[in-house]
Amino acid sequence: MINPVNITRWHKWLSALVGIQCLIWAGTGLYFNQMDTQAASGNQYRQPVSHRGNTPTARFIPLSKLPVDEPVLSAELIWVSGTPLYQVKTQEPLHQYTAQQHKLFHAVSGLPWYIQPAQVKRIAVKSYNGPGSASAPALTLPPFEFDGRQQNPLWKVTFNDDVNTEVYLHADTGKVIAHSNDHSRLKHLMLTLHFMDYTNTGGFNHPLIVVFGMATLMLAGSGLVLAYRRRLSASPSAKASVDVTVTYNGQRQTLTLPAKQPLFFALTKHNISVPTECGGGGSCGQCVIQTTNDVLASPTERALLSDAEIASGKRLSCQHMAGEFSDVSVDYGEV
Amino acid sequence: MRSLIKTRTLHKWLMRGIGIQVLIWALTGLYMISMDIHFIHGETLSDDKHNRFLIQDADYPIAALLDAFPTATQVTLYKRQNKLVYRFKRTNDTQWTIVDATNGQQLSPLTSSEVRQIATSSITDSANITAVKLIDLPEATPAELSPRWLPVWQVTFDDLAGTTFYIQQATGQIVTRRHNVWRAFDWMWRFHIMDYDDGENVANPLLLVLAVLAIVAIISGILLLVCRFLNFASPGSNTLNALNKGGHND
Repeated sequence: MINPVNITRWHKWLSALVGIQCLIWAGTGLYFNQMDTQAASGNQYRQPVSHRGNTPTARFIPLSKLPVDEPVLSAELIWVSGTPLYQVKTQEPLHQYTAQQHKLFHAVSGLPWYIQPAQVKRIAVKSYNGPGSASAPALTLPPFEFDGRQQNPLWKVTFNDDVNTEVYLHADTGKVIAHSNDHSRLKHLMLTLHFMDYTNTGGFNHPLIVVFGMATLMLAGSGLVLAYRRRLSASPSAKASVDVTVTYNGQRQTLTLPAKQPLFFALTKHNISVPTECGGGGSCGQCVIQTTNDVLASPTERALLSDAEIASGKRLSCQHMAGEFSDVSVDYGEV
Repeated sequence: MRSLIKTRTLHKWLMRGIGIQVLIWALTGLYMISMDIHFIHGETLSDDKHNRFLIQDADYPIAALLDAFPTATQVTLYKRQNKLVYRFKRTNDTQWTIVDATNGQQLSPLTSSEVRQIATSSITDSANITAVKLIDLPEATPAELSPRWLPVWQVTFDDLAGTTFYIQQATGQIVTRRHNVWRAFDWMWRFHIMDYDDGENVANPLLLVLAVLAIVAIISGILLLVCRFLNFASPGSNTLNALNKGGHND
């Protein structure tokens, strides 16, 4: 059997470590529950782009004529802003954010093809139906603020609109990867907080959150033990209420207290201020009363009070039901 | 002191009410963050090395293909079950058309024995196939597969992980990989967001109520902690009491 004092102590120190993060988890969780998914996508001003051109397909050279010697996984006919291209992939990653390995060739000439900033800008503008005007495209290297997982360099085109839209396009193909705006940036901040992803890995598989997750599990477990502990303990008295003679600051009075309520709370209800730091949680050891009754000391009391104190009739009022007593005295301010 | 006790009572009773869910959040969250997300997605279950080919082997030119199928889009050359093919979609067509890349002949969807070969050559750990089943109706689609891939062959293996490949009938591509670690992850997610039927709706009212209660319960816990630590410096004093009584506490 684990000493309840230890559980209380663990609960206190674990909450000191992860308490604020638990609040962040619950708060950001509430945000995800309430968020406007449409706005948070960042696609407020996004529209599909048609790239198809009208180059006669009869002029396309066969793929077998391309100067590619190594084994490949796929070759696709793609259109980039009206230009037909062959995209040859030597790797087929499962995610667009994984580093890409591919080559681009013009489908008519068969020559290696590279995108120009003017084409990038044209694609970004085509993908956008908002009121802003576009900046010059900037080729940007990872890491990216909008997605920490992204490993590929991307073009960034900024629009001066009400939500500060940024359009990200693939460095080689000019394919629109994402629209990002103030709404999606707020969502990203919330994800960063929820995943504790302060180094922007873009995910939740990192040691910091695992440590915090384990601590939180222990915090929740210890809390549950504490929350249900007293309910499980046997009640000492069958009666509903009990008369207790209470001496408080030198004055004697007889109070009728509920037998199955902890003495600490029963006394407080009658405006008798028992010293406390923890508010009846059994962790501070301050709520001492003096009694002539023969009451068995709990493990918590044996840990927080000295043997001499226990022998002289001192007990912690949060550790016993009122029904265990008939005579107690409380000396406020003197412990 | 009264407000300290009220705070503790609030913390205790709220947590008695929602403590189990808080524990579930911690448990399911810990499971999800501890498992590598790429492993969960089954990315390690299969590999595609055997699907490499030399581009010079594509004898049938794209120009001829586009002449025969003028509305073809997304034309892609790749290797389907040891054969070099083109796949493409035609206007208003949701299904892929497959054409032999050596002679331009249209090919039929894969049979179960062809799919068995694809599955066996793709799985990274050795395992035996226990069942191959065609799924072609949206209502017959298992929850772990998106209906947008249909029609799909479901290939089940006998390994401990319960590996299942979903192989598109036309393209022969493994579109989805599932194993028991993913299935457990999926349930963790449902319990984490408190949407128990399909796990797709984070915006459910149950989560809203529990999250609000949790915020109140956690703030009350933090207040208790603050009082505890402020008192730590001067044993015997009583912060909340001191605040209530304007600092008079002797």
